[in-house]
Amino acid sequence: MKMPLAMLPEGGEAVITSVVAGRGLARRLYEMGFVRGERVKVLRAGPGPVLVLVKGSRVALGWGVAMKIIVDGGEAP
Amino acid sequence: MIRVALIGNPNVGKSLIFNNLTGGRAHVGNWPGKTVEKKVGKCVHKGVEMEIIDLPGVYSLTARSVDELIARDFIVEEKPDVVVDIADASNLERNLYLTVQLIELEANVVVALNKSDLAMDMGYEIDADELSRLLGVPVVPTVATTKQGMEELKDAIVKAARERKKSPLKIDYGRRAEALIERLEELIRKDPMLSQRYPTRWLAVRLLEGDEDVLRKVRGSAVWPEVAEVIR
Repeated sequence: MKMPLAMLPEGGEAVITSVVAGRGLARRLYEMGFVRGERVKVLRAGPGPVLVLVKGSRVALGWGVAMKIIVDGGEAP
Repeated sequence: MIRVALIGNPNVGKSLIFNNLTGGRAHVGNWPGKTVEKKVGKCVHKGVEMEIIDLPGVYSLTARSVDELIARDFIVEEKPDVVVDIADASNLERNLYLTVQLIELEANVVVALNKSDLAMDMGYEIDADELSRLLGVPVVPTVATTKQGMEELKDAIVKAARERKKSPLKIDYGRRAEALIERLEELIRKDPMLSQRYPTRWLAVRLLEGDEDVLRKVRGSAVWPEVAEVIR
């Protein structure tokens, strides 16, 4: 099921399918490892900042930014 | 005296390597006009004097933050003899992004593969020779905390400064982008003010990316109208 990263529950894992952002933010996110096909895990869910594990690093994203990253969480729980 | 710049992502052990190389004695100041610390130290290895400049810890070399701009400007404008890129071996993929950007900038790169012990504990086996072959630059495994690999790193720096080879690594951006890059490079070569100061391919790629800082540099050039036509 596709959804924004911000909607993933705490402890949830998913694969990034797209980043819906302007050039500047998209680039910044790619550089931090948020690229298509990459596996991410939510360590702390929102509301508010979301703590995400990506490419072996923990990254805190603003809620709004996490809404721009679309992931596929597999089967709905 | 050879000038050596240290660069790397945040938290890779850059400060520790700086201290290992300089014996902890550093001249601390600010980058001109910026509230960012600048550390400069000295190191003598086998009779060769080195000035070690610590650049800010950055993930990339886009000109988005002050840190990134300082690091990039130093490498582009000051052209240090050697740039030591300190990479975290336990999280290599993320770190190689900066490495590739440095190679695109045509810096004289030596990679220090730090935290090699941690990488081994995590079960990673990194073939430094093969990595060196793929990147076209020397790669030295190090463990900054126990000073392992420091002599080898210094040897590699001195050797790189003498040889000053350019890495043959070229990222292929695909047929469409490459055609535009080629046209931009032709235009850039027409303006010696640009082509003598910056690597032409690097400038072309950054122009296509819409890098604000690079656009500002090229806007003053006589070739700008033609460049603007290509990147429109």
